[in-house]
Amino acid sequence: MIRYRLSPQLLWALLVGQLVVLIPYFPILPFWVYVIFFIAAPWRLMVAYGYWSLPKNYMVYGVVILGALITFLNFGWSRDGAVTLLALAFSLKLLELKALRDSMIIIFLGLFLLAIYFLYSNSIGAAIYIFAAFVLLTIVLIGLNRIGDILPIRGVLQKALILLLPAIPLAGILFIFFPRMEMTLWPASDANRMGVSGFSNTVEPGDISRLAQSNRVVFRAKFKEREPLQKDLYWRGLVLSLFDGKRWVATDARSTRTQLKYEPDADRLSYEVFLEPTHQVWLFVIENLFRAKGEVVRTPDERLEAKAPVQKRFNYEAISILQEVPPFEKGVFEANERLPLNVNPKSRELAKKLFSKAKSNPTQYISLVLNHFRKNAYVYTLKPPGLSPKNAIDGFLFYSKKGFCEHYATAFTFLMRAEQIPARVVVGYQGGEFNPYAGYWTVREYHAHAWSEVWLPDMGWVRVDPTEVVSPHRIELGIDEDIKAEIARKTRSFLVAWLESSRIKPYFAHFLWGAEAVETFWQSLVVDYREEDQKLFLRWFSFSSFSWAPFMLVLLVLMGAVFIFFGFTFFSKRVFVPPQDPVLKAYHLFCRKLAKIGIIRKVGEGPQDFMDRVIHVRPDLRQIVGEINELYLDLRYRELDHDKQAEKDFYKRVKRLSV
Amino acid sequence: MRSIPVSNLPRESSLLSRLFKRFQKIKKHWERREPLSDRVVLKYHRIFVLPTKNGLRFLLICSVLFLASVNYESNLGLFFCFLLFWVAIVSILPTYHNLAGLIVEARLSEPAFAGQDLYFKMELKNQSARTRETIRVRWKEGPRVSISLLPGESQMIGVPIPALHRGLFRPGKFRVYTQFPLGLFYAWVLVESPTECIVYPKPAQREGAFSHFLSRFYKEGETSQEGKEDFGGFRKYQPGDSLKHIAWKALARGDEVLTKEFVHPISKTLWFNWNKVSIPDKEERLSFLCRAILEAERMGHHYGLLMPTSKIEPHAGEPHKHRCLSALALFEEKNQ
Repeated sequence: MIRYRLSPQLLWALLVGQLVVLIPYFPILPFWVYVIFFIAAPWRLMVAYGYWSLPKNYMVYGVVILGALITFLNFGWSRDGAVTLLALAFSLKLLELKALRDSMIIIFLGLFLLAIYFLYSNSIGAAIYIFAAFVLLTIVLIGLNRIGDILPIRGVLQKALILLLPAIPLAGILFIFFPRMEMTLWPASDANRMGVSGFSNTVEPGDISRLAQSNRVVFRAKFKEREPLQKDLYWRGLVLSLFDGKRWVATDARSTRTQLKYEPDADRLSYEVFLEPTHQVWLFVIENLFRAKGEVVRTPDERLEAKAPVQKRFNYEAISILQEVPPFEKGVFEANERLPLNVNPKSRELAKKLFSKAKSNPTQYISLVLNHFRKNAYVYTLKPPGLSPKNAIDGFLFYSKKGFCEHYATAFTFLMRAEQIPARVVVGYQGGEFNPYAGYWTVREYHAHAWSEVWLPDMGWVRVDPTEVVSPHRIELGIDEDIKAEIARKTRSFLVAWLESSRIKPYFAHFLWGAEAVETFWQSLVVDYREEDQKLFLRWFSFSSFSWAPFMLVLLVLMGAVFIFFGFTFFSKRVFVPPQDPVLKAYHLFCRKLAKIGIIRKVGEGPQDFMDRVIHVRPDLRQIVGEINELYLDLRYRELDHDKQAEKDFYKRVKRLSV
Repeated sequence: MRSIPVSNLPRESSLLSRLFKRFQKIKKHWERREPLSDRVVLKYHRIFVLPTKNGLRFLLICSVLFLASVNYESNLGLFFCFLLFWVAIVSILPTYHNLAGLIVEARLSEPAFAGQDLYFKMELKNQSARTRETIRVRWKEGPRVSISLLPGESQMIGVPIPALHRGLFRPGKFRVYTQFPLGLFYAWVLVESPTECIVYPKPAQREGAFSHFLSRFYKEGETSQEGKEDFGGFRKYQPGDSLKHIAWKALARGDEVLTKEFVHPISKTLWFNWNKVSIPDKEERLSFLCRAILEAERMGHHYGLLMPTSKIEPHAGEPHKHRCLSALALFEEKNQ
């Protein structure tokens, strides 16, 4: 059996293909996978060049088992674990590459890894990259199946495209018809790497500012009728009612449902929210929720929750009323008055003082507290100093005086409760970024916000946002440019940081918006293609309910079409007609003439030898044959460009020859 | 030696040749059921296409990907999966066309000794306008020969076949196949050739039973090394002369090809007689004679062969050697 030898050039091509597959996985795979690859690749190269030999099989298997153990310990039975194992096998297979089959298996693993990347990102950029990588791997695959040591890229690329270009529309058709059903074959509860930040159901000072470090998109909102103002955009997410001295915790709201009554001409906002996966149930709606539509459920504390944790992009619609004071009817809980004892004594003192100043009038009291914030050099900053958990609010109100929104909100709520005014902390997002090209608002993590709600008799729950007084700028105009730049710097997206902080921002803003619009279009068209879209499409073909039947039908039809096309290609007769070289033609005539007298030119006999033989048999032809031969050698071998006249002369001479 | 006209010239068409062509055509038509000819054009009704093992692995990958995409509800993963599927299906066409229309012609093969590999010569011709890449030929489970053919190109290949027994050997069916371009499917044809090859008997070992016989080949006083030869002049080269004896220096000077003649002062004429070899087993006897002929040829003696069925006058040279060895190969051969 012939031993398989992988030429260095082909191996390089294979390695480039492997690298292209591994690059996008850099944030996902553990670093040691890359270490292994960068050991295996040069090793295999040395083998291909003939300097080293392959390691023994058991050594390679040993590394695989070791790697598998480490992976299992780190990741358990999960998608990330499986991908790591595959990448490990993908890299180590190089050291077991002994036959064509092995190199093809590497390519197959590479294709699989490329496709699996779509479980991590499905942006249009990722799609373009993966597709380009797919073309590259196909080229390498074709090259491996050739004879020869080199990879003639242009020719092979052509062959690859001949295969890929018809496959794209065929795949597209199957894609459209494939029934989208909620099929979960095995638990897919992996924390999606993309959605690991976000609220939890407790908040303590420092949490929101930590959250605000990211510019990850939380959700997008499209408004019908009219666009809101920044200050209208209070997206309520969680209501935190329990304070245990350290942190504020959301509780299950236990109360009767509240009834809402609105003025008939109340200002309303109608919108649809596209929420990125959060793995939680809480949703974000603008204050004073009136109606909601989707797989959602309303809670008694006027929030909206999804029926199941949001594992993939989730849409819902809502209508909110913008009204200064909605007339609530009920909704007081003990929890909202409770404060743990012996905590934050100084704040209690302040509360007492201000409350008596307000003559026990709650509304007045609120104003005084807000005034206190306004007048006493409080600072709103993304980087507040850390506070000791015990008397955190004291520490903030009297010593540091520097806080982010949650500091102000929790302090305010505390002060309210200290005087038996029911109050609670609300966390969510405030504001958003409007994309004029796509017509929607983008809300990111750094829009995270905390504020307070106070229950006043005759009024119900009223929103009070202390941040408004400390940093009105933030509420009116949206979060500070400086803060945004700082966030971008923190998240290591230098490009964005530079863009945010530089003066070119206005110009690039449009570019960014345009890019985002394209991305969103891509998402809605391809990535989110789901049941509803499919139903609409299928209605054209009057399939009332889609299931496997139309899909299988389409599949069979397409395969039939492919094979019919295949059948037609039987009948193409393209016979190769070699170009008629006139010099060769004339020479053949010469040979034919001589064949008539019995001197047959042998296969592969050179013109010189043939001439010698002719002269030997017929010495009388020496001169003529000699001339013809010389001419032939000149025209055929010695002179690269000769004119038609010379060729014609040669032909004439041969014609004139008589034997 | 059987001769096949190997002219590469376009033939004149005369009445005779036209009739001949017509006859060939009819013969071909009748032989279509049994593709038994020296020249086979690979056509669709003989080509089969099946997935390779790698194709099945690919299918496995595709299936796992499909399940994963459905489970994690990744639309793009699903699209990629369908893309892989169709690329594989579409690749059947180029794989098929790589083979369809290929012309396979049998050629004369060099005879081999039993126990060696016989290299069955074939010519593969590509008369289409596209390159045929990685065409493979093999005989049963033997080693494969892979070639690529440019448009219009022909190549001669030798397919190794283990020659086990002496005699007239007809390899019969060859598998011509290809997996290009993706290696997921392979298209194959079984080509049957009526060409027969001669397999000489395996020559006996020089040591052992033959060694005491060796002395006969040498002149008195010589050992088993090549005897000194006296130079006896030049003569014109004849096909079959040993290459060792060509006057290379003269040729380099521009003279014609000459052979140095050596005169063995006592050049022997040996007769190899079947009946005189005292080895009971027929095959061993043939091996013995085979070795004898080879040694005689090597030493430059003239030798003749006396078999029960034939008699070959003493001579020397390659054609003579072939005649003698063939006589041995075909002696009382069962398949005759």
